This record gives sequence, structure tokens and C-alpha cells, in this order.
Amino acid sequence: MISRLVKKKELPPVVYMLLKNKGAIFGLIFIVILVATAIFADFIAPYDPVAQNIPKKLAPPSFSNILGCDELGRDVLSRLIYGSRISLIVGSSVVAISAIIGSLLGSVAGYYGGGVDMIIMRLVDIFISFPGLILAIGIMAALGQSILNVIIALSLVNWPAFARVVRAEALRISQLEYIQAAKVMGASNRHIIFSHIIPNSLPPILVLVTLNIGWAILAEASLSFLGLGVNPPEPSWGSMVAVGRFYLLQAQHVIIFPGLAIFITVLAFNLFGDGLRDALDPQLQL
Amino acid sequence: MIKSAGLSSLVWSVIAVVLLVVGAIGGYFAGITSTQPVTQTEIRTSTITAGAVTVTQPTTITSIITSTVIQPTTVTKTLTETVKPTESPPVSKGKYGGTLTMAVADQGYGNLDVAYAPSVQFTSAAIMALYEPLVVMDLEGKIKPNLATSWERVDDITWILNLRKGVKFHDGTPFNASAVVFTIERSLSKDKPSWASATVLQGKVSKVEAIDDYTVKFTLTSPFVEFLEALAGFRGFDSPSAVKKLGDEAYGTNPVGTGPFKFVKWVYNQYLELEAYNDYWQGRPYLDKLIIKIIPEASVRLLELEKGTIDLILISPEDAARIASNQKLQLVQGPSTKWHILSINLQANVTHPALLDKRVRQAINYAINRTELIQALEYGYATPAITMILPFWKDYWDPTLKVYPDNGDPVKAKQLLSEAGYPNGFETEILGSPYLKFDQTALIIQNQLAKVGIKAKVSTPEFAVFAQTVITSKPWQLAVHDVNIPYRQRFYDFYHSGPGIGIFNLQHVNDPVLDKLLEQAVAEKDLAKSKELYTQIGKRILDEAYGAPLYYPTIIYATQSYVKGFYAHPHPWYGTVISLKSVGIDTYLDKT
Amino acid sequence: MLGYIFRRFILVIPSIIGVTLIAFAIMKATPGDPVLVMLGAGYAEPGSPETIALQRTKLGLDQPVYLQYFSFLWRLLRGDLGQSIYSGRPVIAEIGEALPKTILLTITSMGIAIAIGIIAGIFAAIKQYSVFDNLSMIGSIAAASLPSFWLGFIIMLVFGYYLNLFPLSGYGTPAHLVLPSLTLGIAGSGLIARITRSSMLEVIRKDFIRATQAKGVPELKILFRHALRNAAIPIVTVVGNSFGNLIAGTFLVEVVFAWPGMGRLAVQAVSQRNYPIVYGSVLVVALLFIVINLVVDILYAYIDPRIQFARRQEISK
Repeated sequence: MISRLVKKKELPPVVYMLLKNKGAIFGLIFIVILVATAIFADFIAPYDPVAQNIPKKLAPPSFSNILGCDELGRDVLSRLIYGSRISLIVGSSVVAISAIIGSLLGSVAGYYGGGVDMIIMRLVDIFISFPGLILAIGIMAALGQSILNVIIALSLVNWPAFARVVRAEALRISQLEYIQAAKVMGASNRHIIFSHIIPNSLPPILVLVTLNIGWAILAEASLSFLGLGVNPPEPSWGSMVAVGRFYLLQAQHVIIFPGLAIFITVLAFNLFGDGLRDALDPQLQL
Repeated sequence: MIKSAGLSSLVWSVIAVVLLVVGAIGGYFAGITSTQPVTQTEIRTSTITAGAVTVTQPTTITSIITSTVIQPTTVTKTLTETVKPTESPPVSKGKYGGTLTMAVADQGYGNLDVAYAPSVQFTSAAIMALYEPLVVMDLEGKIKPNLATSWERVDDITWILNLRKGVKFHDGTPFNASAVVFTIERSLSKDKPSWASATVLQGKVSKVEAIDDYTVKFTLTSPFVEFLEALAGFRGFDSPSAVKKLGDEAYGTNPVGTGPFKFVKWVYNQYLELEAYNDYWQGRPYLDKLIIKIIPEASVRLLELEKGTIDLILISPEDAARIASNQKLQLVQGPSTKWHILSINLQANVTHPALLDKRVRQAINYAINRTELIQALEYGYATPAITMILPFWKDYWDPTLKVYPDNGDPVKAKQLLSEAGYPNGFETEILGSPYLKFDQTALIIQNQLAKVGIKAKVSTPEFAVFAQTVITSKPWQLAVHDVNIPYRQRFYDFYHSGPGIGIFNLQHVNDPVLDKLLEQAVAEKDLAKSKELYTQIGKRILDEAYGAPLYYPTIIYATQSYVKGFYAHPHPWYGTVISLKSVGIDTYLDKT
Repeated sequence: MLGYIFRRFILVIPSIIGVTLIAFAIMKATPGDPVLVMLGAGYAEPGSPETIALQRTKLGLDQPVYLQYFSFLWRLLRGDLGQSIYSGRPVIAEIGEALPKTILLTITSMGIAIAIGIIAGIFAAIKQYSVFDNLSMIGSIAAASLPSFWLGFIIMLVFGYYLNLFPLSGYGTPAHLVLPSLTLGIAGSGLIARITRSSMLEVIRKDFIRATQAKGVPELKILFRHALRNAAIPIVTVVGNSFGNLIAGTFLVEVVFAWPGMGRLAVQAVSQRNYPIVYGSVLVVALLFIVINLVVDILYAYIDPRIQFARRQEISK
């Protein structure tokens, strides 16, 4: 059926390859479900995620609380559902910001070359040399805990990845004949960058975006685990794992489920991103 | 092409070198002195003021009394009685031999010099085994002799202590008055500030002198009736000859004290090994060896205990049930010397105006359900707090002072809020750092306050930020934290509007009536009068609702069942830190 | 070639300076006073205001920030990283103790990751499109998706507690190394497996493999001697790049397993505002990163002359 659609030129080959990849399908479906969960959390969650119920503290999974209760008696499932919001918001914001900044800087560096390239690449080197987690920790410690600061911190850590990739693409594209032609015809540099270079760099950018969301979600969880993430009582999957480790021996469910949520979410994004890469260009070295 | 590449990299290198050179010159002029490595203090030996004081050879207590100027003439029971020579060492009833391994969370900065050591679990545990104080506080809050056998309050600011004879340091040198003076002066020295309880005496002792080999005279800066309570917190004495021989730096990792255990080796950040000191004046301890391991993760310490690889740990209440149900383990509980409190900022332009009204503060006290807090956070292992008087201070504890019911009274709280003009509550903010789960405490209190209409936002800064916010008076309104209560003078530190305001008195309490009571109490020697004063102080604080005290936590240790003779001794300074006073001499292993 | 190495080396210096500048700026912007932290914030300990002020002066904390930075650089030039604010021990000593442990953990984990990755990758390539292939590919993505700190606790529970096979945490015997390196190794094996597979797939198809097959050379020999060798290049690149991720992951795992390495040191130092240790750690780890990248780059250029040429062109732009 799908091949017939392709033949009828209704479905581009990219989508076809994607659909063939079972992993990517699973990833996509899960992502859609996750986003829906995040949006409709108010309707889906059985309990208020911040409602404390001390007598039920650390209650194991039961009929009333499918995934059990945490240390203050709050329902774990509800907290996971609302926690998806934070993970998704942070993940997408970080990637969006770093993609924009990184792509801009990378394309400028690759296109203009010379001194500009040198400066930008030095900057990239400096940021890459800095152990990512420590940089994020430092920035969080300096700025204080909030979702916004987490996004800022992680974006600062992440943009070099985009810059590098887009620069490589920009270098490659700049050599192409039609770019030279456009220049000769009087197209402005800005026009060339925005209309030719960046759009043609989209495939690797897109793949990096999907793969990076997984990374960003993991990074946010790691920061929360170290106590430098979001403020309570906001449920963040990472901080739920962090708290869960104090109850490792009495109540494993408090640490298992949030970690599982992180894992499956990141897995879904990675599977999808991987399928995307395969579909777009299996030769891409990312 | 390659040349241009070389050129740009050359340019970069030149820039880099120029930056470095500029930085170097700048640094040179900025004064390397400002960040000089800490230098060795000069060890000042004190002069023995022979004949300067009224007494020369204090043979009996009475001779001191008759020859000094100021003395109590009435025969009322004083807080600090003159004490007769020591009780005899405990009768041996345990088994000799064996190694006890305990685990602590954190090594902190590794320094076992009494004058400079911090007060994290590790160092406190080690120091309690290696050294010992002049006097100790027992389970009823009373002072008992230790390295000092008897003492005398000559006048309000002069104290004389007689030292035990025949005590030797681990290196064989004798323990005497000059050793006491040596360590105390080092800890008071301004050249190299010291931390933790070495600062117990800072600001309180103006001079310490060795009158003769076994008599030490303390001159205080101002009257301080609880001097001995403070002295009980001064953890021990370094061997002067060891310090002089090794120098400050090396001595910190090769401690020599008078305690029941002596130093064997220290694998940094992993474990400390001590062995029994055979010439300990109370007789050698039962244990052959004591090992203190460092295991940062609480769950891992617990697992190791259950596996049997370690013998003793401090535990959190949530693990108590698990230990209790395990036949091979046992729980040992004891009173701690701290309390948890929700402080209320009273600084006029900074805090929420509602908090300046005592009815609002009382409402907060009524809104808080202490029972729920204890159940949620301490699993029942705590006592609801009233005032700073600790429950185990037998002479002072008065449960009738309690005003706010343990379960709270939301109705009364709402009523008070209405009276104060806030029928719909108001918005405020609670700070609680994750340290000791204060963030959870803050969350629960937030919940409880919400029930009476007070909408509080919770912030959980890490401890470093929390400390700075609260101490340096950055804006804050409500904050949850703990306070160590080594002696009753803590009331003064925490509530008096004198120079400590904004630092120790972080709530900025400024109450002349209370100030006066506090000043009297600090100088009152008579037990009955003192108790009366503290009752009045307590009533005032409760009525004005300066802060909302939460509870006094209990210390819980978990040990293997074969560990006997270990009891949770409340050390005046280390509420929840393992106090090894008891794992010194009384503890033994019974593996039969 | 030597010129290339030299040039790359020189370019390292601005990176280092940049790193220290950023670290310094961040820490100074961070609220929190190490002196207060050490004192337990005064209400827990009887520190007086004079003590606090005195100690701050001794530590040079009351100087203007730019002067502090220059002093820092100046001492750095003399090879002095300063003293830990807490212990008074030289920073070099503290880092000197922690660094080898982190390196040990990193190398062991890398070894495990390589072992798992290459073997899985090879098998997946040989048995392409089989169940094993699909499973291992999903498995490798899964491995890369695991939160390392969570995985650490799970492994600790399963192998350390329920199965009681290995010590749960700490450092000492080789057995202590097992659980943490297993955690990191699993997490890092994913990418290596994938690259091995795709690279091997490419190489197997090549004509020269067919030729050796036709010559009658045994399968295993073909596999390792010929195929793997040629497939090695991208694998080496990925391994080199993974080092960066691995070191980042090491931080978390060190905290979980109480492994006394740089990660734990640095994280602790940040929360204690122990500035000298923070700067020292950042510097050392950054240097490590840079050196590893440099080595990988040089190795890469050495292995594949084509790449070297292309890079030369790139640099000369």
C-alpha cells in the first residue's frame, strides 16, 4: 500500500523509509502519546500531583495508586504525568534554542570562513572542552533553580553540537556551483545563508534535533538528580529519582518508575531520530 | 594557503601569551599575599602565672574559697558545685577484643587536630575516640568530671579546674595544664582561625593559664554561668610535643590525644583505623580496633550493615522499622541536642508585613501540625518542641509550658488571622534546603499553612545559598532549619537583639522585655532562679510567637546485635553526629 | 605532520584560558559563601563575625573579582593550583588522588563498552536482518537512552544487593570496580555497536573481502584480520568522541557509587563553594578532554591520509 502511494508520488521516499522502520514507528507513537499526556495532564492524572497524603507515604502500587505513593504520599503516576510536561518543555526548548543559535553561528562560520570561522570555532572548542555536566552545574548554581535557568544552562552546553554540524554542511554547500552562481548574480550573503545554506542543512539539523531532545531530557534529569534542577514541588522525573534513592531499600517503586519514564521517553526520541536519519541519508556521520 | 593558516594560529598564540603575561603581572601586583597559603601559627607557650593569683597551692577546695574576693555567701544550690575527685572507672563487665567498624557519610576536610577539625560525622566520631574533654555532659544534662576532676567558680569570670593526674598522651608525654593551655590557645589564635567547636570558647575566654602542672585557670570575658557546658564541647587536647615535632600540617593527619583509642592509619576519603590505647586512664577499652569507614550513600551504608560488613551506623528514622524487624540488628536511641524550627523573619522592611503581627505568627504556630510533621519526616522518632529547653535537661524541662497543641488547631489559626486583618490569608515564601530534608519539611508546612489560607511558595536552595541568604539578611520570610542547643545560653544567642542580631539571631528579634530577661538568665547562678527566668523567657517567646518551633529529633543508631554497651550519648555540640564517648570504653562485642 | 601537531597544540591555549575564565566567572556569580558553609552557617556552629571576616581575608575572598582571577592565573603559571578551602591540602594533592581513580573507571568502562559494542556490532553485521540484528540495534539505542544514574542504582540493587555478588560502593578492591564500570560500559556500548555494525556492513560488501573469501581464507581470519581492520576508522572516531560523553557520565556514576574520583570531587566542591578545587578540577578535566581530542585527531589523520589532506585544506581556509 505504501509503495503504491510512493509510486503515485503521494508520499515522499523519506516518509516511506520511516514508516518501514518499526522502531521509528514505536518512537513516533510514543512521542505523540507523551505530548498528548502532557497537554491533557489535567484530565488524565488520577490525583493532584502535589497533594500530600502523609498516612499513605511510600505506599506500594495498589488499586488506588497504580504506581504507588512517594515519600509525602503523593501519587506517583500523577506526578509522572505532570512531570512529562517539564521533560518535554525543557527538552524542546533547549534543543530549539541551541539549534537556532548553533545553526546560525555554524552557518556563518562555514560560509564566511577565515577569521570569523576561527573565532567561532575557538568558542565552540572552549565550550566543548568544558565538561558539559560541570558547566551546567556551574551555571545552575550561579543562576538559581528554575525551569528557565535549566533551559539556559543546557542550551549553553548544547549549542556547539549544532554549530559543528551546520558548519560542516555550510562548508560543503558553499562549494557548490549554484552558490557561486548566486553570488555572481548579486545575491546578498544574508540571502544565501538563509535561503540556501540553512534550508539545505535541514536534514542533519532535523536528525540532530530529535536525537538531542533525548539528550536534553537526560541532562535535565541528571541536573535534577544532583539537586540543581527544578524547584519542588514541581514534579520532575529526575528529582523523583533523586529522592527515590533515599528509599532504595524500602520502596523501590519510588525510584524505578521515574527512571523508567526517562528511559522510555529518551528511547522513543532516539528511535525516531535514528529512523529519521536512516530515511534521510544513511551515510550521515552524526 | 598553509601560510595563512599558520598566520592566524600565530596571531592567536600571541594573543594568548599576551593575556597570560598581563594576567601574570596583574596577579603579581594584586598581591600574592592575599592568597598566601595558610602559614603555620607560632606556638606561643604561655607563662605560668605563679603567685599572680591569690592561691599558690590549692590543696583543698576551701582554701580557694577563703582567699578570693568575690564568692557566693549564701548556701543556695549553685549551678556548678564544687566537685570532689572522680568517681571510679566503670566496672569491667564486657569482653575484650574485636574490631568495630562504623560508617559515616562524609569526611569533610580531613584534619584531626582538635583546634582545626570540623564537625562532620567523620571527624567528630574520630575525635571522640582519640581525644576527650575536660568535663562531660550526662544523659540528664548534668556535668560530670573527666579530665578535670574538680573545679571551682572563683568569681563570675574566673574558673579554676583541677586536672586528673597520671594521664598520658598516646605518645607517652604527660597530660598536664600546659597541654590544656596549649590547645586552647591555638584554637583561640587569630592567626589561623579554627572551626567547629574549637570555637566554643572564642569570645568567651580571654585568658587561660596553667597555675601549676595540674591546675588551669580560665579568665572569661564576661560572666558565663554555663562555662562548663561550653567546656564540655571543647573536644580534647593535642599533645604539645607531637604538634611541635610534626608541625601543624602533618599533625592534622597524625593526631595524638589522650582518648581511649590511638591513631593507626588513615586512608584518605576511605577509612580511618584506630586501635586501643592500653594506658588509657580508665583502663584500656574493650575493643581492639575501631575502624571508621566513609560511605556517602545512606542506602549503601544500610546495605553494608545488613550484609554484616559494618557494625554501626547512624540512621534516619525511615530506616528504623527495617532495622527493628531484623533479628541480627538492633536500634539504639538517644536524645539529640538540636531542634528543628520554622524561623520567621522580623526585619521590618524585608519580611512580609503580616509576619510582624504576633497574632499572625501565633496563627502560623496553630496551623502547624507537629504530629504530622513528626510522622512524615521522623516516623515518630521526635518530640514536639516547645522552647529551646531540651527534654533531657532534667532540671529545666517543663512540659506545662506548651501552648500550641501538637496536632495544630486550624480553626484557631483562621480566627487569629481574621483578627489580624487577614481573613483570606496572604502569600509568603518558605526556604528549606535539601540538607536534612528541610525541603520536605517546607513542603509539608506549605500544605498545612494552605489549609488556613496562607499561600506559601517553597524554595529549596542548596545549603550554601540558604546559609548566605539567611545569615547575610538577603530577603527571606520563613525558613526551616535546625539549631544546635548545647546550653541554655543559646536562648541569648538566638533571641537577644545585641550584636548577634541578623547573624545568630537570624529572625531579627528585637524585644527589650525579652532582652532583659535573657541578660539576667545568662548571669544567674542559682538553679531555682535560673529555672524561673527561663520559664518566663519561654512564656514570652511562645506568646510573641518568635518563630514556630517544630520538634526535637531523636538520634537513632543501628548496630549489629553483638555490639553491646553502646548508648546514644547526647554530645552538647553534635546532635545527630555519632558520639563516641560511649564507644570509647563501654562498648564491646559479644559474638557468642 | 609535526607542524600540524604543533599548530593544534598551540590552539589549545586559548581554549584553556577560555575555560578557566568561564569557570571563574560562573563561580563568582554563584551565591554562597564557602566560609559560611564551613561554619554550618553560624547558627549551627558558634562562629563569630570576626572569624568569618578573618577567614575570608585569609582566603583572599574579599578582593575584587578581577584581581582574584589574575592571582589565580599568576599562581597557575607557577604551577600552583592553590589549596582546598576546606582541608588546606594543596589542590594538586586532592586532584592527584582523585584523577587516577576517574581514569581507571573511565578506561575500564570504555573497555567494557568496546567489548560489548564491537562483538554485538560484528554479530549484527554478519547476521544482518536477523532477529539478533534487530534486537541488538534496538538494544544499542536503548543502551544510549538509559539514565546512567538510574541504571547505576538498579544494577546496585540487582547485583549488589539481591544477588549479593559485588560490593555496593566505594573503592578498594577490583570487585569494587565492577558495578560502576558495568553501568558506564553498558551505557556507552550502544553507539559503538551501531558504528561497528554499519562500518562492518560496508566493508564486508567490498570486493577485496570477496577476493579473500575466494582464496579460501578461514572466516574468522577474514573477519578480524581484514574486515575489522578496515572498519576500524569510524569506530576509532566514535570511541574518541565517546570519551567525552563517558567522562560526563562518570561524574554521575561516581556520585551514585561513592567512587572517590574527579566527578565526586568536583560536584562536592561546587556545592561547598570550594573554589580552588572547582577551578582545578575544571582545568584538569578540560585538559583531559582536549588532550584526548587531540590524540584522536592525530590518530585519525595518521590512519587515513585522505582525511589529513582534507583537514589541511580545511584549516588553510
